[in-house]
Amino acid sequence: MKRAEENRKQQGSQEAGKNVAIREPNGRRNLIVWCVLMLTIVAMSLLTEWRTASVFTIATLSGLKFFLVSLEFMEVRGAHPMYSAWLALLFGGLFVGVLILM
Amino acid sequence: MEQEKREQEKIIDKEGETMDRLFYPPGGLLIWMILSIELLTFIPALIAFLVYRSQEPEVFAQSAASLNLITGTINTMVLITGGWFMAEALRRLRLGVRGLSARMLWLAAAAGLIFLIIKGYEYSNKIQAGQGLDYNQFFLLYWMITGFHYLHVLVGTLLLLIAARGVGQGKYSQSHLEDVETIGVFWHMCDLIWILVFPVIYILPRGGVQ
Repeated sequence: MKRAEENRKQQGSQEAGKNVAIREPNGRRNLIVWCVLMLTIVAMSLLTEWRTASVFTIATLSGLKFFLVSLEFMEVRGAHPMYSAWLALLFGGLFVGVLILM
Repeated sequence: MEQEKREQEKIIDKEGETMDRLFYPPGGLLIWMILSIELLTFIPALIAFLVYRSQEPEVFAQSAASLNLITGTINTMVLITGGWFMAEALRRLRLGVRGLSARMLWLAAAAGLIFLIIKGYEYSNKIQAGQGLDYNQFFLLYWMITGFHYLHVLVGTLLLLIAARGVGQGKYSQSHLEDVETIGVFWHMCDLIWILVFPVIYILPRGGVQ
């Protein structure tokens, strides 16, 4: 009986650990995100400089940066889905505006 | 019976957790209200910029081409790197590594300062070239939008300096880091706004983007 209780406690702490691992940002992951962001910024400027960029490409690359920063650095990934949906709505408004007006 | 009770407890825990996640977003609900107001200010301003651009595409193309794409790109990299330092500072503070966390915050503040210096250099060039607020519609919006963002970065840098000092002195720690989280969200908000401002003002109006 006692052993069963201990097993349950251990399982509980492992589950809690899993939750923390999902929510808590990880150093390597942050570094990878930073590298992707740097590459995206350089790619965007080079495409503009070479005059090969389309409005859609620029808007999509901006969207990628916007969501990487908010989901990873700002930790919206671990928050209630409503917050990422709200940010997606705001970005989507500008994205549609850019595609219509450009 | 016991299993049923456990299942019920699990459901209650899950509901509680969902409510916690809803009412306690990263940095707190108040900073999210501020973030929403800021984005709801900048996004319509950028849409207004695009509307004016559609009326005078040539003026906007010439004016955008006079902006330095390289300094703009460097500034974007600097600001995003500051965001990475901020994320790392918070992660290390949660792990209880206060010294490294404070160092990361100082680096994030340095990134903010570098952004302000580079942007200040760009502003002084524009003033010397006579491209002030009254030069044309492009520069009126350029000064208003980037200037407003500049003020945000200035405030964010000051907040980062306060946080770095606080973490270094032990005012903030593993168990008391709410203020640092809030400052982090404010700083990332500056990143998010610049991510939207940079392509709309520096890239899209230029000739060559189809």
